[in-house]
Amino acid sequence: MREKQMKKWVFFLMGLIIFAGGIRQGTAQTFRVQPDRHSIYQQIEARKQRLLQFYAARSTAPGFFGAMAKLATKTDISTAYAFIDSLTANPHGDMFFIYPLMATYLYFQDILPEDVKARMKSVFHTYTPYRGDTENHWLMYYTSILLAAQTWPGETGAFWFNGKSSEENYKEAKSYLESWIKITTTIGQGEFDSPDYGEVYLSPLFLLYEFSREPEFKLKAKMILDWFWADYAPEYLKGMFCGGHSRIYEPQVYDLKRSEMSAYGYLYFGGTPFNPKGRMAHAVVGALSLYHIPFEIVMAARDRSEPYVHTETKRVRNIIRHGKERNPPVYKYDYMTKDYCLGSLQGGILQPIQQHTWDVSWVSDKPYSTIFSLHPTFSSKELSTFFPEEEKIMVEEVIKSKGTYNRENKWTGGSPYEFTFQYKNSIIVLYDIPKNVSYHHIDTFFPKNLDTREEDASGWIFCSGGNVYVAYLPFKPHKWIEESIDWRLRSFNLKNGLILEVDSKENYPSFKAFKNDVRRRTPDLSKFDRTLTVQFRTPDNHLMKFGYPDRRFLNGAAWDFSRYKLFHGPFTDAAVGSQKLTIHYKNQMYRINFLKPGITQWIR
Amino acid sequence: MIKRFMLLNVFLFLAFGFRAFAQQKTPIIYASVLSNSRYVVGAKNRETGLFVSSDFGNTWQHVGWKNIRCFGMAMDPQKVGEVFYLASGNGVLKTVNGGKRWGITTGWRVTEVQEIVVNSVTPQKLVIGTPYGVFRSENAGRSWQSSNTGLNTIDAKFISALEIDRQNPDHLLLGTEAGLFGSRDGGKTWKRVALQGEPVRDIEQNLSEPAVFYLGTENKGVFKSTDGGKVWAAVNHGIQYKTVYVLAIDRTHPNTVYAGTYKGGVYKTTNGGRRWKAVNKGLTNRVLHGLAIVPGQPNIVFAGTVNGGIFKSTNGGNTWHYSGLNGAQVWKMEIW
Repeated sequence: MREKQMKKWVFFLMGLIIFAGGIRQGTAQTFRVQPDRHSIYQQIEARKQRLLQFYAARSTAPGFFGAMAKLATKTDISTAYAFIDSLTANPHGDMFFIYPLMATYLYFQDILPEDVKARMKSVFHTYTPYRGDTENHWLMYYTSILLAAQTWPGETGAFWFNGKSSEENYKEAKSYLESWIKITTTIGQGEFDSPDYGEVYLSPLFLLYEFSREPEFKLKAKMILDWFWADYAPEYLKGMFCGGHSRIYEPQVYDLKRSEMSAYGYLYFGGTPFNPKGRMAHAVVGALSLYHIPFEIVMAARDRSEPYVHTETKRVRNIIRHGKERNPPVYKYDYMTKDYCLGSLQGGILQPIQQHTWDVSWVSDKPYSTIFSLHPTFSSKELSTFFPEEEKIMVEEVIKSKGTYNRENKWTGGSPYEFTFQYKNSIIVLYDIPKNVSYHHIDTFFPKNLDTREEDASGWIFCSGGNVYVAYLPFKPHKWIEESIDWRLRSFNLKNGLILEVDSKENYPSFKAFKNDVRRRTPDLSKFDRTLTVQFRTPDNHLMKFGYPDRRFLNGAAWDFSRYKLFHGPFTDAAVGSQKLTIHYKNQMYRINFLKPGITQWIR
Repeated sequence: MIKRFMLLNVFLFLAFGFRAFAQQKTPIIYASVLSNSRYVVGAKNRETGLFVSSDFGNTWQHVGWKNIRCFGMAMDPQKVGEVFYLASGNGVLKTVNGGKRWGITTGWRVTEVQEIVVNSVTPQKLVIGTPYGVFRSENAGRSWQSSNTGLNTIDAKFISALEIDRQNPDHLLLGTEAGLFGSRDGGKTWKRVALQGEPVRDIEQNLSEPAVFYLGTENKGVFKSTDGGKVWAAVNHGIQYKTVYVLAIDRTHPNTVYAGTYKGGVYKTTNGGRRWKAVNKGLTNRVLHGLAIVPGQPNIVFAGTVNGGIFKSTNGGNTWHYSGLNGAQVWKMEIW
């Protein structure tokens, strides 16, 4: 009898646990049950095929990516060969040319006719590619050189465009790539988290992994490829690469799903529709790859069942003038939920021309689901800090190819007069703009397609869009400028600032309740004009105090960036200098260790 | 017999002597081009790199790599016309056959080379300046060593100018973002000389008076030393535009010096820098980065502009006319 009663209780309790679990899982929108690994990988393969079919059908002008897609899908092979003939007859594009050339050669070497292969090889005799001046250029260049030297060993300097033998070229390329891996895994990437350039890291890394013949180097290529994906995954939200970026262009800065990295996200992470309007061509290389992305990384990109803080340390691009340190640290902070991500860099100039310091971006079927601000600035000093040409002529040179750099309306670029302090879903951004710069205003991007945008008597601007509410407090008078896709909030005070808070709709019974809650926590701006200091109480009752440029306090304690790890969050963990990265998903662990090259997996 | 002998002499002169004479009298003018109208990495750019004229600038031919950002250049003084070096974005390029075939002598650690000098006594010794400091080679570029002892800051390692003392090749002057440095041991170690904190853009030795050096700066115009580079004094009377990217000294009249500036065009002095005068008639682009005077014909001067190609004067700078390479950003000019 007792036993029967006990059993009843046990069943009742189990039922309760299952029921409670069900409720909890019900709030977890992304996955209610342990996802099916098999189906995840099946979906990745299906997306790869879709991308290849798209490029196979769409490519009409000569290009290696189109040629590869046609060859892979056996679509119009003769056109693919015609593309290669045309390209090899007139090589141009430097590393952007030789890396897809090697990709085409290596992926299809078994089916390419010998004369086509001979013409591809001859490019390395006749063509003299520029090595470039940024990290992505060098990765593409030396990946191509390593693979070409490996493909055609024993060639003397008389064959090679640069006069070095295959062995010398291989050794030099490997040395650079090893060095790049080392700096990336110790103090972080310089050209970090770029929605527009990340693909020209991933694609060469795919090639290194697929085709390196040295077993240890192949392993390292696999590890750095995993590393790169693990860097991306925690900042991925349904097709968007969230948070601050080293480099981004317009329109991708406000149309987040149009970048090449969105294409790569689509391929390997999913959660976003196929977007043929976006830039996707480089992802053909990833679509051809047999690389098996670790399950833990895919889940780090997809599981948004719980909100989380994720931090990273990166490095500033090589400083060659006007600095005391070659690669000062960049500190990243992201607050990710299933509905939105608020992310930021600490501010200041961390990368020339195309830095993106902060934004909030939310899940939406509509484009332009983001709000961010900037101080439009440009200077010859900024450029000469990173580039070797003459300081006084540099702005003129840069705007030849990056035409918005010196424009007052630009939407990309950092400012030496802009600094941030973020805690979870609240951010304070402060500006102290000197009189002697070209532009004295700050701009904030508000998409026109917000569901609501209303100015409150309290000074707050309240918005709703997707599944989020946003509150934005401009510190100083402003005006609205209507543009095609956005309302531009422009404010002219030299000492300026803003506070933004974002939250999921489900956390409030109504928009009105959200607004009331924000109004109740009106920030203390009384010392702002005098000391550029502001205090703000967050929705979960933490007191943020921020004094321009770097006096940050949370509940009275100084905010210490130096404690930031290379990666830290629920999915990834790596100490600065460690060369080790642990990726975890629930109890499944995946560790990459460059000190003793190897990957270990275990169940915690 | 005499007639035959004379005819033979005429034939020999026509066959060999005239050629030698012509070679001696026809200077070869070299221009390094950093970009041509617009340079975007990965794009289909116009030709950049080394351009050569052997007809006094009437025509210019491209030589070597077509797609390279080229800063400086140097010739092996013992193998003029054969062994030639280019300081470029890809590193140091070298040809040993007069430009028929080029190779890169440096590895990945050497990049965006701004300047190169060849030791006139021991031409296997090379020194280069880069944004990351100095490198030396003692075997004509087969291997390179980093050589930054004494250059202790990021700015001190950013090299814009490098000059080797033709009388004492162990003596070098180094123009950095942090001022002027010097070496007395062939570039192994460096000591601060002058102009602390002032970026130095060009250094030139007066070959007729080797103790005399001039240098151009980013903000403070021209400086002159008359004691072999130890003590320097500003010589800017008449110069309004004080960003001086390039200098050229007339070997025939050593007190005649030209200064190429940012936006101020060309200034000329005929009294060793005591007074300068702007000489810009016909110069439609006034941002100068290259200057060269034809040896033995000092009235012929070439000016390389930033994005305006090359201009030529046949009257010592009184007037200029366009010579070629429209749109080119000419970084350096040399005549050998």
